Amino acid sequence: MTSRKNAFDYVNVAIMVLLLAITLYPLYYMGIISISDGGAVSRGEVLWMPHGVNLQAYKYVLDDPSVLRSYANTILYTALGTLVSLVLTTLCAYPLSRRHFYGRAGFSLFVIFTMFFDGGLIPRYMVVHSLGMIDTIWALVVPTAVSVFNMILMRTFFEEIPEALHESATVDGAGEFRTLLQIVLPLSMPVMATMFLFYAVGQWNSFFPALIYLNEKSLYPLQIILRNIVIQGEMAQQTTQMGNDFASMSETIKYAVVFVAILPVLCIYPFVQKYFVQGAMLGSVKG
Amino acid sequence: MAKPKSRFAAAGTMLSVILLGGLLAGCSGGGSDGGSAASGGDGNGSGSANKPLTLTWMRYEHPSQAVVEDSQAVQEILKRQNVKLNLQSVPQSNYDDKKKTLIATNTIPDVMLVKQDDIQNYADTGVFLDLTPYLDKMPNFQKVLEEHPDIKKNYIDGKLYGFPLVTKWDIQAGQIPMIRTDLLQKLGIPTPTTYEELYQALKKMKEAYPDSYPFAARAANGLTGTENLINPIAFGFGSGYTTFNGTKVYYDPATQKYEFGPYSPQFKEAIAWLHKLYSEKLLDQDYTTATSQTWQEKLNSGKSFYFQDNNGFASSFNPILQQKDPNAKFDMIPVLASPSGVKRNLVYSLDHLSESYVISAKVKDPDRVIQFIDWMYGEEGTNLTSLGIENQDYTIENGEYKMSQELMDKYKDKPSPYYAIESALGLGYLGLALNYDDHPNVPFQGEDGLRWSETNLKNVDAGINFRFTNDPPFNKEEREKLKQLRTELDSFITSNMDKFIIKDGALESDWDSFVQQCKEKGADELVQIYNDALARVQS
Amino acid sequence: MVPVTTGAAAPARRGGQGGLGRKLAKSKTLYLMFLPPLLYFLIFQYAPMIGNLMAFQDFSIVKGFFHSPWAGTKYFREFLTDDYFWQVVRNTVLINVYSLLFYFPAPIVFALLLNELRGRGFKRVVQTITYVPHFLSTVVVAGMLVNFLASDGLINELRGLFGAEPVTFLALPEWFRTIFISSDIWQGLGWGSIIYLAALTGIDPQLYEAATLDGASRWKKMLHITLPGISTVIMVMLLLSLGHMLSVGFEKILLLYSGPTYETADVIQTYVYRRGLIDSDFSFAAAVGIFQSVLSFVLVVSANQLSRKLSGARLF
Repeated sequence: MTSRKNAFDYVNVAIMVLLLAITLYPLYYMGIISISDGGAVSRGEVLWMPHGVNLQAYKYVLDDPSVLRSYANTILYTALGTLVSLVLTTLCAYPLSRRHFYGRAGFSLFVIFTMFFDGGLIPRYMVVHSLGMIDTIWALVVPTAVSVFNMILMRTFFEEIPEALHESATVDGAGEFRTLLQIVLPLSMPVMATMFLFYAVGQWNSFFPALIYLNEKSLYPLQIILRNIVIQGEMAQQTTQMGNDFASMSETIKYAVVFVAILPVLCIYPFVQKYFVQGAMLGSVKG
Repeated sequence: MAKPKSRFAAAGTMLSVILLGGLLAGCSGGGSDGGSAASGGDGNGSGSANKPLTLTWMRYEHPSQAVVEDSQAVQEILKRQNVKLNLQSVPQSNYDDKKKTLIATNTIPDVMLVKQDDIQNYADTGVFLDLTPYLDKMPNFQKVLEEHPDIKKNYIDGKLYGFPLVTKWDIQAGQIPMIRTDLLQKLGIPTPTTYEELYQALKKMKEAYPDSYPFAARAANGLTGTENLINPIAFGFGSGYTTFNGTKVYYDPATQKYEFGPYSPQFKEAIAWLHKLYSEKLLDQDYTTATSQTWQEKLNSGKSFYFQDNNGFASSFNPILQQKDPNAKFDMIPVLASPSGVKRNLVYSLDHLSESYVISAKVKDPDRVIQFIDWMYGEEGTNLTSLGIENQDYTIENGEYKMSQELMDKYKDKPSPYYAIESALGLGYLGLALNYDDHPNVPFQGEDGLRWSETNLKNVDAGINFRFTNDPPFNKEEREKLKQLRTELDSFITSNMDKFIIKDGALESDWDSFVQQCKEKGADELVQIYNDALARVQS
Repeated sequence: MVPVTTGAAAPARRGGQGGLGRKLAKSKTLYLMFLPPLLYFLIFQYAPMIGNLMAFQDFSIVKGFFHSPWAGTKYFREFLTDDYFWQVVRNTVLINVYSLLFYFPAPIVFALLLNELRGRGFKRVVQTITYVPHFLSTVVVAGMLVNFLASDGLINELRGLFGAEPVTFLALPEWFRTIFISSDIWQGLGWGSIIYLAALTGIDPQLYEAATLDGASRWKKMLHITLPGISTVIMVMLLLSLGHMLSVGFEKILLLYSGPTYETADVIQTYVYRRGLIDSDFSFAAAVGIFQSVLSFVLVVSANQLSRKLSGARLF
């Protein structure tokens, strides 16, 4: 697009800046609280600038050995979970995207039906239990492996690939697997990147399966440990102690926890961004 | 054409097989590691003379006090009782979900902390061990039963299924009037002795500090902001609002029965008083959504000067306030008299009878387990799980508890030394104790904290302070009825009650029809069910 | 990239005696591929569905699913005849309708605007920052909202600068939906735009070049190239959203609602939750769950048929 900048561009930038401000302020607010002195925060003095800067809250969070251990756990669960999910979802979406897949509508319904009707926590627990997956990493990765929502999106993108490409591949002697791996996937990098993001973040933030299927504290992922810390400010005990910095530190700790939890995920996006390049399908179709 | 196709088909097949195989391998591999620790009786509970009795022991973990798997108490218990505890802790915020899943699938650990509700709901499923036949082999627990007769309310159809958490000694806190006494002095306001005088005092404070909202309230302990605000006030006026778990009836010590607050004129008076405060902006305008956090902020920052909620919090407010203003001080004032002359306050129960440890019906060697639990209620067990090791962690001098200096020094740099100690030693209500002595709290209470506790205790004896009581047990039909009644009635009351506090004129025009509708929705039945159940316990 | 051979179509197969067999054979590898996901769904989704039998029974754990005495339609009767229940259904649907009107288009508009941004560096910055709110847990967001919306909170202070009296936003039923949906938009704008940005990359740049040559304005390009280019994705997302019409993220509501706002804020999930607090009632919750599922399913199927006829985009 080589047209000159016009009024619209300026308005656009202005809108973006406004959005940035609205998005940034709460994040900034949480940030300055997390590095401020607890007493000042309790008195509501911290609004635009930090007061009494210290890293006590972060120290408190990171000193806890279960935080670091659960961090490592979560990295492992996320890596494995994303891999399993991507593979299973692709194996589901690709056939459903092929027009000649016999029984396609029926299978689609079969899958989509599960979006509306869920067996429930207890029955699923029993299935997981009878497969011996309790207290193993598999309980966190397998039962939630395929998100039908994601699968449908993936399928939609796969369907956009022109049939002509498939046909020429067939003529060249490629079977379905080869077509998938050599033609469809390379052309689908944007959606694959998106799915990678969705699953990775979903796994990173997940806590409910871990809560239900794990009993061993050393296996807990980050979110379980962190949620407890975050909620502690809301929980009032019946007695409090003098010199108990907890009462004043709870806000600072809460926000320190937030940043500790989201930092790695923020770093993924820049890497994934390069797949959102326009024209990934360029050159293949026309001609 | 065939060759490349089949090669990829083969690869594809292999991929699927590997995936499935990996799944199954992972499953069986996981299955054999240490087993599903939650299922009771996995080689546990068998204790011969030398082999330790291994018990899986599950409780929730409060974020302030981490559950340490090999805390001092756990180690000592192994040494002294030859019992190995495999502690499983779940964050309190989601403990209910976990607990219910385990109960519903009959995979509970050997010993698990549950609420009385869970026992009521699932006792007849046979998942929990019936403890009644073992009780006469438990001398220590018998003593506890005598000292805490309210445990009777935990019996279901004459049977006991859970070992409740009792308290031997604790700081007594309650929803007591706490006010900024320094401001009373500064502004020349006499200490209020009635609710009317309190209103006048708050008004004068607002005049001096127009941006303030002198009376602050919050949601806490499972009750909404509204419930937590109305409870002490209505009670102080001679009526009441909810039980400790939010049911819209209350136990009145004056009549010794459950009553429905809104029926009494004193309740209406209390609401009128609250309305007066709200409309003159003396009461926090956001009280309906106030959290503990925002409430503390207001009181810490001089935005609010009065609260009638857990008085213990003043111990943490005062130091924070004094960082800015050395004279600032929250202090307790004596019970306020209502317009009709009633003088009473609500305080917290010291015991935690609504929480009990249940034992899995599948446990092996129940006698051994029972014996161990009895020990936990006895003096040795109590002291180990409440105070620590004598002459190392504490000493008793002239009958007085004194924490050892080494212990205090070891943890003095932590944000909360008290909880750090409790955590490391495995002590307390949030730790392993079944019979709990909170003397370790004393060094951290400060003079005021201890003085308030003593005053509160004195007033309990004097018939001024009354503790929250537990619900009586209900039978199946009653529980069904309660479910239906409460669903509709609760929503109706909750969505309407604030209107009378917030909206001008609502009390005059709509109160009577509100009460009438409560009646139609079953308020009478609700009270009746509670009183019938209570009568059964007392007979 | 596979070299393109133009004009070579796959050899046409006649139907006839081997018709069905042919079709199956053609899909043979696809069946193989589909096998693992199929197993997944059978084991982890359909097997537990037997649990929905719970809704029709008085569930008793130890007796297990098949032996618990059937309670017929007791629970369905109970809530379907409860006036208050219909009020919470109304609230649920209304919140979702407003959501559809405001929350749904927001990421699309945002993606389109982002796409038009010139500076690549600035674009990256905006993208990265706007998707951070998605990662904040509901508890944190609700906590901030309570803080900012208080009578003496940030919003009221800003209004005070213009001389306005403080408003207790969270105690006013008429404000609840606005607050709820606005915070949803704040949280979901950046993250929600990702899928549309991915879709935008699939539009052939040559189309834009041709349009420029034809002298089309940016607005026209957006209307005739960009929007149609991502229309399938938009339709699919819309259909998927319709599947949620009868449920609302209840954690946030739980943290933000209170007595005075029940009349607009109380939704099906919070109603069921409070019921669960009174007495653990799996069967009741399961029954309500079925009610929600059936209605949502019917809604989506109808929408799907409609969409198929009108635009070709469909879920199945």
